Amino acid sequence: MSAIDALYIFDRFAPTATLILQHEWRTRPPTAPTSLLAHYNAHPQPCPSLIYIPTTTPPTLLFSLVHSNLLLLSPAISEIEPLLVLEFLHRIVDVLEDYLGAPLMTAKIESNYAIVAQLLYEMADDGFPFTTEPNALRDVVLPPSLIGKIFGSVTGLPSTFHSNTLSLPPSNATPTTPWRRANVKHTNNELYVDILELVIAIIAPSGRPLCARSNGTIAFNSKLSGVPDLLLTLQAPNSHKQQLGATPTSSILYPVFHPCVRLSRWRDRPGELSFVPPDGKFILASYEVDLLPTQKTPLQLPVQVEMKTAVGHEGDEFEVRVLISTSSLTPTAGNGSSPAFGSRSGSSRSPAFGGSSNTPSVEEVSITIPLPPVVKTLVATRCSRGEFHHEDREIVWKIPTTGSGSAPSSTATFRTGVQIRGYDADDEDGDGDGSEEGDSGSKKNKTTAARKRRMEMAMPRCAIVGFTVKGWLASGVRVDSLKIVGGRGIGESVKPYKGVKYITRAGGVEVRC
Amino acid sequence: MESLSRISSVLESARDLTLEAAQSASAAGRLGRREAKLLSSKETRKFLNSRIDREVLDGLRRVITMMSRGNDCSEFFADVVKNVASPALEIKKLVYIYLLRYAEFEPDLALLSINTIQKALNDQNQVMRAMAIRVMSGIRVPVISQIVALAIKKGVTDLSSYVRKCAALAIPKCYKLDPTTMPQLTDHLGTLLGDRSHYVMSAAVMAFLEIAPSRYDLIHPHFRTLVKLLIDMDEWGQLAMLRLLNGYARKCFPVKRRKKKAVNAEGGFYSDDDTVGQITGTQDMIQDMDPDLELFLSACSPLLQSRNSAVIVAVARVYRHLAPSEYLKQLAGPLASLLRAPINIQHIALISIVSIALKCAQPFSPFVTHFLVQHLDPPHIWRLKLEILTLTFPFVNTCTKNLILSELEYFAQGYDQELIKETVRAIGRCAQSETRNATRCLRVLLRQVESSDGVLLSESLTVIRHIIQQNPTAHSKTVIRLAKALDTATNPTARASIIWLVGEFSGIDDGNNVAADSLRILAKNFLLESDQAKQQIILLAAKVYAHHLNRTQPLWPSSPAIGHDKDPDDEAPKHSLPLLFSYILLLGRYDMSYDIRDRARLYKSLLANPSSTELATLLLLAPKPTPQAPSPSFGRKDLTLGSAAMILGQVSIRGYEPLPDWINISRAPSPSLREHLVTEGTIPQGGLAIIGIAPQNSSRRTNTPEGFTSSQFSNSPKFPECETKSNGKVETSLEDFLASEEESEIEGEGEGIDYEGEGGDDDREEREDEEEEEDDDADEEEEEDDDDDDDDDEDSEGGKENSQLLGGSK
Repeated sequence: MSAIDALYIFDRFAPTATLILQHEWRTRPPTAPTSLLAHYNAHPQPCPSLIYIPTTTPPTLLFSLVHSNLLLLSPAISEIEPLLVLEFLHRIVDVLEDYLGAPLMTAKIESNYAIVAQLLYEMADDGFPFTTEPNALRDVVLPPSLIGKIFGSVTGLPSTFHSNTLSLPPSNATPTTPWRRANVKHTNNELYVDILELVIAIIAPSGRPLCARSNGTIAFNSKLSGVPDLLLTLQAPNSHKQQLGATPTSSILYPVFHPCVRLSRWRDRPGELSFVPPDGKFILASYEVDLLPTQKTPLQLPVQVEMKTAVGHEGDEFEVRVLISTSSLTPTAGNGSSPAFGSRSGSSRSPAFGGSSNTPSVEEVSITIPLPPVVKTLVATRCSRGEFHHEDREIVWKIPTTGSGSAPSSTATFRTGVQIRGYDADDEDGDGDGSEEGDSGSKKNKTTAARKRRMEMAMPRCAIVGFTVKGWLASGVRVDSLKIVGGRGIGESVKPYKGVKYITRAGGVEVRC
Repeated sequence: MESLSRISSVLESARDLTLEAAQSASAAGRLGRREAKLLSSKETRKFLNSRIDREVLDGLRRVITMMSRGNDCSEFFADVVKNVASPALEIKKLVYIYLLRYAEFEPDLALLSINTIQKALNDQNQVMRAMAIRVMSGIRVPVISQIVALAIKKGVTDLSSYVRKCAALAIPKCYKLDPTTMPQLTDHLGTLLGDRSHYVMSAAVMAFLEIAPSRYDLIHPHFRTLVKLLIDMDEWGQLAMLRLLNGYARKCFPVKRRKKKAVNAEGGFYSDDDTVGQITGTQDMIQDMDPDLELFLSACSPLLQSRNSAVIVAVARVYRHLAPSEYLKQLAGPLASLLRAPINIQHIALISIVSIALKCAQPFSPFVTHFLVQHLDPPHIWRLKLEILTLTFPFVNTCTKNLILSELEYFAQGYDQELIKETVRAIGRCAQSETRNATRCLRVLLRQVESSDGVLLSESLTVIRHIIQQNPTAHSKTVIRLAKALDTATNPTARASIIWLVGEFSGIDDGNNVAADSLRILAKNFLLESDQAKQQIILLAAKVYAHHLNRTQPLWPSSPAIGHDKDPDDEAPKHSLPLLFSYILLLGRYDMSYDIRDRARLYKSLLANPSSTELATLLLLAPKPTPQAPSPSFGRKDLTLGSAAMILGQVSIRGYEPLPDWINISRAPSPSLREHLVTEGTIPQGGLAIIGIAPQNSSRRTNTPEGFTSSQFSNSPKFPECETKSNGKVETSLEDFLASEEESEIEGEGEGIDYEGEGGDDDREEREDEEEEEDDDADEEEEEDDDDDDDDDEDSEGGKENSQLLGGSK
């Protein structure tokens, strides 16, 4: 009933989209991959992830996933849970990147077909997801790097071959921790926690934020020997006006966890993640934080944008002002006005904890301004800093930021005039409109009014702000501690290197005007 | 949850995929492809037949490469299959992959390899054994179905749970090869469903869904174990379980009419035990939920923290279709948080949310800000977001209502035509929900009437018309306001529809309205109007005149024809309306458009004759049905949540089956069927009720990597396994050996059906006891029960139900 029939991977940017991989888990599906691609392309873009093609026999459900320059298609001929397929496709991409190195590219797949085929064979059995944990896969499929070491060849022809190195150890294929591979050994024990937050906000013309939240993801990279048992304690700012008795991490909402995390521990003591990590990189958890827990809480973003439209004596210009300020991010300036950015100075347990987190820096500031279709071209464009790029129906303005610490705040201005498409033909339009011909007296007034209105229509309606801040989290969440609390195979004396990194990015900050 | 690849690409921003890199990469790829093509099949064959493993492997890689590219490699069949006996694992694996793909085209040659594969079934290495089962069942050569069945039989009792899992997954494949093997396969399935390892169990559930989805009798004895292990399974197993139990619950948990039972059971029946007492308390509140169903529902709630969005939506499906609406509250947050996921998952999450909101939007009201439309949202996303906003609109507070309306207004003034249309419609839907909201929405819409944008205008007018039609008397002022807008509005369609609206409501207040006046003003510039506006003006004139006639001649005059053209002229001095009417008709009569001329003529003759006024009234002033604009996804409401059919809004998807209806109480299987397998282990009968129901609720939540803080009973076999990992295979197999020994004991006791038989007997005995007791005084019964074990209460309850069943059959 619910099985995944096949996977086809296409290269989207080759001269014509070409099939670079096909793998069938069940009998060959009746519809050829190329015709599936044709159906996919025939669908108006952007294509939803599930489309129904009733014209094939039998009718096909076509699932798709676009990953950088690859297009993954998976057909099904009968009812199946769409999210199951999509999650599975995402998992395939993750596993392939894990094995072949990111970013996943056509060339990498093409030079490792044998490995990809083995992986896909292990990941699903007869269309049912089978082994999808990267660590468990490592037990059964050798990564290319290892094979490369065994063969040590450049030409691709192996020079030496020991068949017994390839016969896998009779690994525990059903480990109690299916996400952790057996017999992990590292000479350097290291632990890295990267917390990434994407800020989503909509700011009304008045400057009032309509919504603002931060989507956090905790990426973990564990290189520890044996089977360690870890405890990661998160600290959320408790300066939000909380009711008495609220847990310090109550602002961390709707977390989802990697299966390794003990849910009961989190339930009993929110903020504590107790887990036996998989080996290597994985996503430990994700959560969200409301940046506007109350109506009064001010929203402090490192980049603030102010837009004025229909300025200039003709009313055909608009102006964007940007204020980049790191002052609100530093711990000292965060008193009262920006409670979310709690003290980060306390995080100094290991050498890696210090560093950039004390002096957050704003990078990659860009303003994207979508333009209405009536805009023909821009005239008299000038910007005080940075460079802009006008293409098609949007302006992308990139503002360089000077190195961190030099200036706490800086401003930049962008101003441009707008020319409307079909502006010259305005009079003809008026003539062509038969009904208006009668009152030629008021025509002049009418055209100016109409022109003004059209100008208003040609003004941008919002700007999308992009920025990256390293060493700062919009939500104020921070790692309080990370300890090895137990486990086996790792000596007491081992003091692993621990690193923590915070990054905040704008994941859709929209300033309206 | 975000996928790892996306996050890591953000974290390591230096890895931007430049166009250059992509180009060079694809160039290199093409080069590689050409290179591969240069190699003739002869050469490849030479490699495959080589004696050196390394060369064979290389040859196999070439074949797999060709296969993955979609080239036909069947010519190498014999050469590849020859290598099946190779001891090297990687060679073997590649040969297997090849076999799976091509065996069905060369069944005879494939048979040659079977022997070797069969041998591998006895391999020392569990991976080898598992692979052998997988490949043998997967090669789709019908002749070997019996051999496959044998292999499964062997695999089912294998010591390694990995092999057992593969055996479970082989069951549907074998069934497809040869449906006659069904009876044996069901037996195996029954065994596997009772497996101790959740790892095996999840595969068994998948197989069950594939071959015998309606054989719920196989599930009954394992139900509680399955529910208990739900949290430990991997995400795909959880998905299969949730699908299975969804159907199971509908088929096996009747919606009970509790009253009679409540009277019997209430007064202190459970009063000796606090925990159980609490359960009964909640049961009464939640309209009689079966305790097993409740067990299942509460086992689902930790799954809402799964990283897999499919699992979250599957839980949503369970709650939506099985649980009372209180449960939906738990659901709203996790579902809304799916908007953190990549866009294709967002899309499906949003459709699911819409589908739930259609039934009950209340829980989503705190999450309104999650669904605000953003500029970058593609159409299929913002459409759904708008729908959710309108669905939650009636349930939010005034402040949020204002927020939603101003959002909608903002987008109504944008430049994306589709978005404008959709937002205006959304405003209309907001207005429909409550009359109080209607005025507010109307105010927003009327602001749009002055706009110059044609699309926005006509769409708003349509929606305004809908709102007014729902309650015409309340909106007489709106009509006036619209009529005023005629002075400024220029868009012909908009003018036409305003005029129509004015005409439609010209009968309000006995003619003391704006209709006649606007007709007078319109008459002045009749010539300059567009054709559609002219048509509407003539219609308006006819309507106004018809109303006038109805007022002036309340009784139908019996005198027939008075004359054609004279009649209006006669009345002219009395009232200006007939005069106006005839003026408009005159204008229409000499219009350029024949359509307008025709209409003018029609209305003239229709209204000229007093005897036909009735007909004219029917024709012109017929009450129009109030239009209802349902939510765009309304058609999805009754489809099973999370299915492809629901996402596409089409029922005709192959393989889609709506959830079965709740089963009737008289036909539901007895709950006692589920009782017994809990006793299957070593737990004595007495402790059954407590272990089976109450404390599990709290302890099940542990998603521990077992071995560290493993809970006492169910996970105990896993504890030693953890240690074996470092020590190697010997202990692993020992552990498995112990586990399987226990299993075989269970097997020895008999199959699941036997248990049911036993259960039936027990019940009957207990029923007899019960009946005896019932003869006694009720108070006595209570006292006795106090002394008894709680478990007996449970059983007697079940027994009673059973007695009803049996009584019916007697």
